[in-house]
Amino acid sequence: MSDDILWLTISQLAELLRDRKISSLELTKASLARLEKLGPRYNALATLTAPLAIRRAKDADDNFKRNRVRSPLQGIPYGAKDLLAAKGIPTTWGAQPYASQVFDFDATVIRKLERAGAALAAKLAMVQLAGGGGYRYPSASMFGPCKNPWNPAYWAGGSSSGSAAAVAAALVPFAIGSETWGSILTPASYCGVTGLRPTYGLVSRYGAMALSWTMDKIGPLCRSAEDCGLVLRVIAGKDSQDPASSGKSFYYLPEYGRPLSELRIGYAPLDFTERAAESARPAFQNALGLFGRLGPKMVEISLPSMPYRAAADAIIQAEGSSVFESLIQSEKFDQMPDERQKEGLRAGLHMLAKDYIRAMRIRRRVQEKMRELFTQVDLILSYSTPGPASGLDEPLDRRRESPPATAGVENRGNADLGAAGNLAGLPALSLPCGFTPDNLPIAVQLVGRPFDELTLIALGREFQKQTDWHKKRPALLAE
Amino acid sequence: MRKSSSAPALGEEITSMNSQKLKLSRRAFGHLLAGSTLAAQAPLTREEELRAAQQRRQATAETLARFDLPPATEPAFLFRP
Repeated sequence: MSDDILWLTISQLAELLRDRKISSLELTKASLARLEKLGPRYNALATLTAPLAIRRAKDADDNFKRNRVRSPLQGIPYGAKDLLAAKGIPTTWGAQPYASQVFDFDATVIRKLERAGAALAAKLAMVQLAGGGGYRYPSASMFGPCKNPWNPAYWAGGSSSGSAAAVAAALVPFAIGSETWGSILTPASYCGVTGLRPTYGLVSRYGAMALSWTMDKIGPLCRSAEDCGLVLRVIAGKDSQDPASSGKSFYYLPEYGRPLSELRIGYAPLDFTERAAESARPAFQNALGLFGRLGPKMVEISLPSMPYRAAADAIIQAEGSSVFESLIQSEKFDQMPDERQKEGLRAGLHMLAKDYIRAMRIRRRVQEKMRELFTQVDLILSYSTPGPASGLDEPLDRRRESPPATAGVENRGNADLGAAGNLAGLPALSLPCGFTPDNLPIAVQLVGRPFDELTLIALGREFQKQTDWHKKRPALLAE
Repeated sequence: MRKSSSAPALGEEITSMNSQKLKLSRRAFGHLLAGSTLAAQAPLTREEELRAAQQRRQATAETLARFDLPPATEPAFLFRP
């Protein structure tokens, strides 16, 4: 079977499988072979789960023969970020101290995907401890720096590095990642894939490594917005084992989405000019123009001036250092690379209660302000990251990613949308929107109201009907 | 680290805006400012990294403290979007 099959979307694969034009076993074997061959070259692979995947593929084929189709994901192989527990398979959290950690249960997301008939083909590499503490180098992972399939001299982004790289290199048709602040949107943007950060509480985190109990979300990285909808349909829903579970489900019914002409998209022109990397501006401006031509009303808005980044920093640092307190105080802590990250975690143990509580009080105001903003618009459009991927050896804390905190509202545009969206638990969709002259992908993000993923995906789907950025293929390492 | 010069060190001058007297080397402070510079710098020692992390934590706390909050604002502990 040609590897071309692995470049297809979930909906295309589902049709081929249902019509018995391909078998799940063939598809899964092709994915496993590619994961084994190319995964290590990009430092994207944590563990190949071949025996499990083959078993699931055979089950799926058996069901197809009986005309039993449980979901559009039946028979489709996928990868999961290595922070999701999978029974009997190593779950390293990307960190050497946990290299031999094995759980005897499945994370809820893994269990739901299994029930839907998907085949777990691999655990995928990630930044150690999902980046808790704040790392300086892409090499802050026990798997090494994850290389970008578009150019291996560049980083795949983090912390869901392997999930994005594996989809971009067509090792799997889709993957699961997680985001506390930027960990789905950043790698999705850098690798040119479509990533969805669901509303906080929509997808269960049971069995996932915690970094920040009040900010962690789990979501898909796929080839298209539509695929994100198909995966979210399966993984969303109530779970009594996650105290933050909202009890809500998600139904992917784009025909019930609001007409585009009724939508109001908020944006800040500054995001697409001065706040963006120069090499990315033409593509960002084209994308902005296209959204306007799709029918929605474009409305200029700016986030109110609030310390979004400081609040997000404080909450993640306090909760993350609490999660990993015993590790930080153990000898094993020294097994991890990246001194900046380790000292960040250590310093978090000394955060004062007043600062954490103040951050949580500010967060309440952020929620209120975002609610007010969403009376004026239905969605907010900005960049996913201001520019393309950084170099593999480039210190991440030395990038000019955002305007200084002292810049007034009029000078900041919506540069803090990532922090604000995560603090308020809002859903976001990252859509590839072009390339820099160096052939590195860039992407825009749409942020919506809580639990309004359907509008995000419906608009993303229309955008992708008019563009082919999400269909581009990188020239891979000695394929 | 400058101890006896009448002229302020780079770090001292800049952080005086926060009324903070820093105890950082110039090199460590350079890393604190790293978000706005692309200049290559030598790696920090573990002690310098810890001091830099503590300083970042302090700067975060000061940024949060400058924001006016109505007294009745409750924390978002029972977080629901």
